[in-house]
Amino acid sequence: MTDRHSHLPLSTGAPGGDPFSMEPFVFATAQYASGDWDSAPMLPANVIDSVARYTALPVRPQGVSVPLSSEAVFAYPLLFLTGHLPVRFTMREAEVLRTYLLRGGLLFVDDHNHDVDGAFHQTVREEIRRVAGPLAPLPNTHELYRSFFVFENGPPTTSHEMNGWGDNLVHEQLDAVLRNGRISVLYSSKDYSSEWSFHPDNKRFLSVDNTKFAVNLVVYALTR
Amino acid sequence: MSTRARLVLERTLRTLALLGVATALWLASRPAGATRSAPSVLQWTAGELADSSAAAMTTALFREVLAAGEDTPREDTPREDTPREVLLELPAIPGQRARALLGVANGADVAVRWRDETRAAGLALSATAVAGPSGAIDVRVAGPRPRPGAPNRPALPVLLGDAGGLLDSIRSMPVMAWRLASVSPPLRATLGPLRAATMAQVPARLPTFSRRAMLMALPGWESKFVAAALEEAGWRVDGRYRLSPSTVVTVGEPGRLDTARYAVVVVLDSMMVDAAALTRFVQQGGGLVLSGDALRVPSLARLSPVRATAVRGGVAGALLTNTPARGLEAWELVTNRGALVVRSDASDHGHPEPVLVAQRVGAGRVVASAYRRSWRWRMEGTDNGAAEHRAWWGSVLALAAGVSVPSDVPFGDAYPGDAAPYADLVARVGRPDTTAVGDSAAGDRLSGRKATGVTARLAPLFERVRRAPGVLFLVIALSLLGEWSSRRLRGHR
Repeated sequence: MTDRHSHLPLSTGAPGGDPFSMEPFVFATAQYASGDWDSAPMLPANVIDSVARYTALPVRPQGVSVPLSSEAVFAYPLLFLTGHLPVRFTMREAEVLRTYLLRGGLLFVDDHNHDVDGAFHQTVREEIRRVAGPLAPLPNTHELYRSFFVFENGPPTTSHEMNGWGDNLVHEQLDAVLRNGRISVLYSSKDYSSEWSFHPDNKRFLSVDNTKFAVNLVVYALTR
Repeated sequence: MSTRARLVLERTLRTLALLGVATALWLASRPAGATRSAPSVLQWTAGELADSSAAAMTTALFREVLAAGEDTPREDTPREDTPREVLLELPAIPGQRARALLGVANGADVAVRWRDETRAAGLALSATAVAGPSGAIDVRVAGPRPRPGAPNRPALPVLLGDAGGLLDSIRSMPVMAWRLASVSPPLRATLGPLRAATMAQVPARLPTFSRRAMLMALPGWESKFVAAALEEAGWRVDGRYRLSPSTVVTVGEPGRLDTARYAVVVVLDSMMVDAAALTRFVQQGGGLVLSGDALRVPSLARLSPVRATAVRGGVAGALLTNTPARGLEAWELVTNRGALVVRSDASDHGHPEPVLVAQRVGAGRVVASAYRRSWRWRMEGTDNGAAEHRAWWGSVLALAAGVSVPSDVPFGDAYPGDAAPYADLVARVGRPDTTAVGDSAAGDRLSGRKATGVTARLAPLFERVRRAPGVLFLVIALSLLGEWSSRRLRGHR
């Protein structure tokens, strides 16, 4: 993994600092009626910390939880959805999510079980197919893996995969539903929900920050 | 001078003065406009129109048909001197103004009849560049319509070709349309067998423009959805997004900024701009869109057609109404001198707020868009929000690229206009007459340029005198003064 930096000369800004009220990025977690949507409570803070740590993007310090049945989700074009338990969207949730994706929102779904036969994996993929269409493997050469940091081998492997937990598989790639060439739904069986769900202060104990891929995801969502 | 000659002069001057007085009394006793000739039929022959131009006919028509009506704006019934019929032999299809005038006359109880001397068989050709990055060209051909009652004959073939050769052939129909990916001018349409073909040609070079746009912005939902809207509209978008003071993420394949590569540069909110390069780009013919907070970038102030003063908040809930743009935050704009306000929104201030302003800078154009966070139009608006957002940005870029936005009105729902002048004339005044103009059964027939009869010949003179009575007074006074002086010089009182 290498950092990808392009250097351009910066023009002068307005005297007295930045006059613009750039709207901050807000990390939003989808609340759904079935299952345990809040199974990774530390993840938002960690992702927010990484975005703030590596980029100059304005980011709101706290994430938000948004009911999937509410049109409030339209204000958050990147939504994170996770859980362990079977997922069945209500009619309203499915309708709102379908509209959300049609308008250009990006839904990132992560299987907290890290188990291809798990209840969450099977049910949420069915729901995604019902709402957005079938998932297909995302090539490891996709620009998602180069949007900020460069991941030559595709999605970074999690410690849960390396330890053989869950389905005892190292998933080589992520799955996605594409719309107009852009990722509309990104699905992971790699259990980033566990991998990233720790207090940001503990990053100092890691030799390599394992949340860098989250920065790629946020930057991709904001630029593509 | 002999006494006899002086007597003749004095009598002549006295007669002239009496005639002047008589004319003044006669004019005073007649209502205004009654001195005009009163032709019931205006007629132009092909020879007359070929000698002069359609502009002469337009001028005459305006004088005879419309100016007469202007004298009596409150009368419901047409004046008696307004011609009831206009007969034309047209060697060529008149211009848009003349056609419109004929259409107006036709709708104002003046029967307009025309005989087709164009030998064009009604073939008209137009080519319009599509206002979009596809670079396609809409070609429309209006062919002759079958005349009612005429025997059914097989339609003649219409051949469409350009400098590169034949493009397509089709049996003639009243309206034919193609969308071509590219054309090598001139574009030609021919009707009928080769030896007697009627041809229409578009000689002008068709405008083409680059299909790429450069997006300069900070990464965020606005840049994301503007790029999405433009790509959905067919633009190829390159972008540079500053992610940190030393990091820029590129989208697409951004290259050197020049007019050969890019048609438009869109600056949304970024201060990461090279104002000198942008100025050079615009001066050389490129388009620049300054949207939202980009209107406040100091280094671009000299290019901007507006001055953004304060942010106007969006109307709560308006995104879900039929005026969704009012739900967006927007900068209040003070327009520079020479800038053109293209679109304004209603506001609570009692006056419209400009939201889209354009100005020519050098060979290029700069367009200012007031809206901030237009992505909310797409995500938080109605189900049509995405299409409206896409259409908005498409029109903004078309404006900056200097290409006309095609009308959404289908071809058949309005007058064809210059796209098909022959069809336009037919739509306005009806099909051409098959009988000769000279065979018309109309009564007193007057040419629009050649009046007949003493009254008609003198009518313009009377009209001028009526409009300038001082001239008549001057003639009378000078005549009397001359006669009196002559008599005094002879020693008479």
